[in-house]
Amino acid sequence: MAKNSFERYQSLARELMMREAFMNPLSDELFETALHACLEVLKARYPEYERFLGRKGSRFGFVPPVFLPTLKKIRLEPPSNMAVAETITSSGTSGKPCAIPLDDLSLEMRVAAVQRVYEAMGIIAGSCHAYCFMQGPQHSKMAGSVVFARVLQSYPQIARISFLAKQKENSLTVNHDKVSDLISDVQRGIPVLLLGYPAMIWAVVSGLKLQGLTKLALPAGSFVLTGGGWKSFLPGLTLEQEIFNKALSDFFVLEPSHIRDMFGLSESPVVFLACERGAYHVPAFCRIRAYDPGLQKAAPYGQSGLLEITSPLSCSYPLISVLSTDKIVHGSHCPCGLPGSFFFPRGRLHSTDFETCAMRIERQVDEAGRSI
Amino acid sequence: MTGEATGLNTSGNRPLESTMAELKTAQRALQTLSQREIAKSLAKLATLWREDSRWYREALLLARNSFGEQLCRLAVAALEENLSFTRLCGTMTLELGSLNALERWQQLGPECTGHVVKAYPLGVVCQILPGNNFLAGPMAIIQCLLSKNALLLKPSQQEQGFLELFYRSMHEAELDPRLLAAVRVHAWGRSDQHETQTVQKLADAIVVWGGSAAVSAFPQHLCKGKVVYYGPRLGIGLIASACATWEAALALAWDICLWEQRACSSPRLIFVREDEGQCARAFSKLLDDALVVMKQQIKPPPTDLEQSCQILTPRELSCWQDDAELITGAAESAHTVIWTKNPPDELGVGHRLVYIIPYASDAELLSKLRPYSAMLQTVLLSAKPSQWAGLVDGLANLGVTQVISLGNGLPGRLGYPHEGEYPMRQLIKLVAVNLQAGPFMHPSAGNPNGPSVVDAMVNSRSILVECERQSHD
Repeated sequence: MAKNSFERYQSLARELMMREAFMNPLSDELFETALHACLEVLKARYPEYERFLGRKGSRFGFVPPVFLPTLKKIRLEPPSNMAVAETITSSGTSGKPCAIPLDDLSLEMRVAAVQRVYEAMGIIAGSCHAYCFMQGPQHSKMAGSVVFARVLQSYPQIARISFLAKQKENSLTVNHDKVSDLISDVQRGIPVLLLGYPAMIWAVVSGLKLQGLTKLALPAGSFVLTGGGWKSFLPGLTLEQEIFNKALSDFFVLEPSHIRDMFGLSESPVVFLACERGAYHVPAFCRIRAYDPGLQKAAPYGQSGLLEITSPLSCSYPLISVLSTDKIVHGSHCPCGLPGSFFFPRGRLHSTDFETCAMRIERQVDEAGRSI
Repeated sequence: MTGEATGLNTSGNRPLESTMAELKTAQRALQTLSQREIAKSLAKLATLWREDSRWYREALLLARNSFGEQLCRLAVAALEENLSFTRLCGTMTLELGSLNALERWQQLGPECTGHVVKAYPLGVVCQILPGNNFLAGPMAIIQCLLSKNALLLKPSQQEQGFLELFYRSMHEAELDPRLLAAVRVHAWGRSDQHETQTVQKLADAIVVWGGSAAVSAFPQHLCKGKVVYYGPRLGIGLIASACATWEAALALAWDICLWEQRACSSPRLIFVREDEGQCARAFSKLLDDALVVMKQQIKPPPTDLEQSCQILTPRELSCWQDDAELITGAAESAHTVIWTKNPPDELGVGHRLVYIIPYASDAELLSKLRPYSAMLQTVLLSAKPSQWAGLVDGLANLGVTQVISLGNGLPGRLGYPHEGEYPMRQLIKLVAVNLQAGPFMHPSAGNPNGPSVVDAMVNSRSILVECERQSHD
């Protein structure tokens, strides 16, 4: 790969991130150019990806998406001349976890993508302490831990960052000392940012209620940012977002608009933050479609499709355009007034196929001793 | 019954234990009918299921959303044929050995004087039906009644209503009440452990059709009676030398679309012999075109978002692999043809998905098939007459139990072996009686007071006559 093609891409990607997070340009030449430049870098780094694109029929302005379950079945080796800054993993809730190598620029872009969205939605305005309901990056290489640690560290107004989850045997448990710190901060009037898995926040709130604490009024300027699975996230635990938000709003005596959910994929650098109306907004540095695999094109606005994300923010692994197994409904003109489009999640695909006396082949072949 | 369960429930809200007890009584009453009488009564149904009858038209309406009209027409025609008195009697003769195998003691052979055998029904049989074949229910009813077993049917959650339709037609046909009393339908879901355990404890035999989940719900060690497993299995196509023609492609396209690749006999891996050139790749393209043509004849069922996604992974994977090629170009195609040098590691069910795999010799074919030998069932074969016998021998040794010529995959036929055995044989037990004198009965064998061989022979004949008399009574 010519050095100047990487540098050209780097400069375009950074320029893209200088813009406002939410805008609605009629034509977006910068986005298209950055996409093309990113594609050139990826093709040079991954010849297999170039062949894939050739077979799928790539053209200017359209990058065929990689279907994420496929990505878990193929292992692409990063080129030896690419310095890997971090290798992040997905949770593996929908199958095998996926390992994604990030170079410095891709990591920088992931962090910037979250920062731009937070800034545009006024999430981290004043000084605060951050409490993360997840493991810290020293214990977990999951995308959330690695990226959000860096995002929070990038804000000088966040004086303290604590990670509340710790590994205990095969499951996560809450570090109660950190919960005490949180209560103490709140009692001292320090605004807090609570961020992480809803199931873990729920576990802490339920624990405090059991101890007799019926309310913990968070100081003004506090926010709760959730991210992760809502249903069946932990064994035996099912959370409905609406019920959860209401309970949290009551317990923390917090405006519902200060409880927001984030939607993201480990495989994509973009994080979608819900507005006050619960719509997940699409930043200007990415494009999404609700893809209908039956029609092989975008589903019309208002109809369910699979979330497809195209974004030129990742050059260390072919994730420029991905098709997830998350179902969404795509829409435009959110009443909240933010420009650009938005979506509502509609659950995840069930991988269980209709089972008949025709045999699904996978495990049985393994047992027959065939190398796979 | 929970909300998860679907379909007809003839027991109403009564507990399954009561239904099983009633079936036990009904099964005893069934013994008072002769096989011939049962066949005669069942044959009344054939008239009802004639082409363009009310039942026929209702079945077509039901099938429209699942397997399509053409397949339904063929299936109902097959059902009518299966229900003819001649076919019913022929099937009993073929599968059970005679038209009165369940009623009379049969001598084993002229050289086996004193050896007699008689078939006995197993009792109350529970059939766990598959969701991919709407003839499975009627076939189970016919086979169980002909073998004088009472029957509890558990419909699949994919049951479209065909079983209920057939059951209603049995009543309209005014079958002998003893037959009607011996059939019950009871629907329950996988989570209804109580129902599953009741069947495990009370059924004299269980026949399980379906996938691994259905099979694993009825492990033999937890069941009182015998368990017969039908599935899950793998069907393949085999195009042996110089047969990779448009006609072969069209015939194979028929077999692929027939049960929407959901049947154990559906061809899903297609092996094409390459003597010279890239015959398999060329055949892949022919098959792709043939599947487009077949789409007009057997319309694919509508798919929802979840179902459409099942096909994305194999299509995408073929675009990443060096030794594979996605042949199906049209994005909106209802089918997928993938050429690949080696059989895939994973293979889903349905969606008209086929892999075309080249092979150069019979030895290579068998070697590529060996990993699947435990699950092999049907081969759809296109080969020269001179190749057939040798190929079938090789495939049978590998585990194949059915070979059908290409394009001949048709709805179920009564009297046809399934998974290496006649289905009705699985529903009976043969009781052998040896009335010959043993060596110690002969004076010369050291028992001077015992009856002679001649005496024993006389005794055996008289016992045989007595047995026959009792059977007739």
